[in-house]
Amino acid sequence: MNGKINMEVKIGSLHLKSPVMTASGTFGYGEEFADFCDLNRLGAIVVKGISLQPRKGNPPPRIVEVAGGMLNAIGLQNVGLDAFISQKLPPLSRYNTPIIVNVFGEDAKEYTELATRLDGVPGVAALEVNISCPNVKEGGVHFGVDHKMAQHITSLVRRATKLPLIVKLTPNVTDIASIAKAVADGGADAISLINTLTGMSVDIKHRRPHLQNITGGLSGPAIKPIALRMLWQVRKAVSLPLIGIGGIMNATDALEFLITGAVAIQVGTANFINPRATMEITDGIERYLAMSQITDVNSLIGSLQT
Amino acid sequence: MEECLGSVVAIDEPKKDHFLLTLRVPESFSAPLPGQFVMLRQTPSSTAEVNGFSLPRPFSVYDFTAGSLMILFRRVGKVTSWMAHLSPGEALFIRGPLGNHFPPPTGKKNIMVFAGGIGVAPMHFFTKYFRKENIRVFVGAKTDGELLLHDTFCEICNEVKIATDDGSYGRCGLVTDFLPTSMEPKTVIYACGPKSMLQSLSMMIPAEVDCHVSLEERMACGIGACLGCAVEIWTVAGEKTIRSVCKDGPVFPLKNVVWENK
Repeated sequence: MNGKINMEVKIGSLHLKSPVMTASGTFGYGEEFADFCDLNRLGAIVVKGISLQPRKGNPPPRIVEVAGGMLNAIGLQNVGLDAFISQKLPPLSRYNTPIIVNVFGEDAKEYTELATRLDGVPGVAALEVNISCPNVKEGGVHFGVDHKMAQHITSLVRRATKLPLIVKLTPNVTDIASIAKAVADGGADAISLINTLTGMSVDIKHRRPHLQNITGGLSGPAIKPIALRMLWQVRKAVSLPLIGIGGIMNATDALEFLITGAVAIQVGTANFINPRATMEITDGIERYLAMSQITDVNSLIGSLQT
Repeated sequence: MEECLGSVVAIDEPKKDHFLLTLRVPESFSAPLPGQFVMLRQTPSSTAEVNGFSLPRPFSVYDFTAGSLMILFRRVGKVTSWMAHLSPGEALFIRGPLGNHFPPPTGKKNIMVFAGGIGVAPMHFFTKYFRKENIRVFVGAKTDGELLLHDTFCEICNEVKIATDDGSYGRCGLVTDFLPTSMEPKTVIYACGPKSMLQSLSMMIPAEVDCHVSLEERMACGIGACLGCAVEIWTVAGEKTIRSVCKDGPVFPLKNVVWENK
């Protein structure tokens, strides 16, 4: 839009041409949005979470709209690592955009194996380790709520890969700063936060939960103030680059996260409503910078006055 | 395929709480095929507020003629209540056409359509699209007050039969009661309606008879990204697999759909 404005940000060794990324699980494997977005304009694409083996996910209903957001209990449905590498990754290589692979395991060994096998795969720019998905009983939730386990998993993945390592945190904890410190100590290059908050909704006509899984992850505008608060707490606790996630629907929301200290942001639920949301947010950030006569987005990041 | 802006031409209420919405669509909107659907959502400038956050909603195509898209919907919740109050000239976003479509009944002699409740919407488009074929239509509703499109189907088809649960119109009973006990070869059945109706059909229709059904499931995106609209499907190898109603459907061969005994 304006050639004078620098939108490039760095997350460790990873260079992003824009701070606007997509959130895992809300952008498919990228290609689904090629009709709507110029995928080359994205800072990075974070693909749907991958496990070693394919997963069928939960029975429907899997989603329900609630005030200010939605609940989902997809149950980590994915094609598995082999199909991801052979089928989903190659079409993405024609875009000039880093592909960040979100991974989750059912035990420590799976995290290590995922990281080992993705290390050196062409087209993979970084890993985002999900220690926080709240939907699957045997899934990552116990890693993300315990600072010792969070550190353990992070250090295992760290040893298994040379790729930039982002760890994604769950908000369903008492003290997110202590988890962030543990992950930093484990060797993460960056932290992304927050994943969804566990929630529930009831159909009073049938006296049943709206979701077959009973509980699900809350996303959307309702969680944005919580995400900002946690970003602020984590920023004060660790010096790692932080990626802000949680209810970002427009450029104003994205700017709030950048100002609070996120070096990049992920757009999630907004992609479902407006498949061009990432493009409009990118335009909006550029417009704000131009109007504020800021030539480098990096000088906005963390500029919060308190 | 992109999202486009449609503007409301007309909105009618042929039966209480049931609305027929006519939208003017731009030339860039591709002509849909019977069985396909669109996702509708409000624009930021919409005068009638949906009340903050709102996901788009899927609606099957009721009819399409060049430049004009028609949607038949029932008022059930927040978004359809907003839509019921749309006025001519108002704009909304249209994503689509989405999904697959009903396979044409080419070469079939005995073509039957079963439509239950608001499931008449895609079956209307199908029946009109293939009106040259000799299609028999069976429509079911809970009660006369919810019976839709009887007259419209009568204009398109030679044979239309009605069943209502309470007998307030047509035969008292279920639309599936019309299913013949024996079916000649070259029969094909198309259906859309409540899960209970489709499940009944799956138990009644012999495996050698082709039947294509349009499924509904809650979805957030309509383009295969959210994975909300999962449906279990039998593979050729006899294994259960997960498909998305939005992208792999909404039309599936009935015999491939896995039914929960719940």
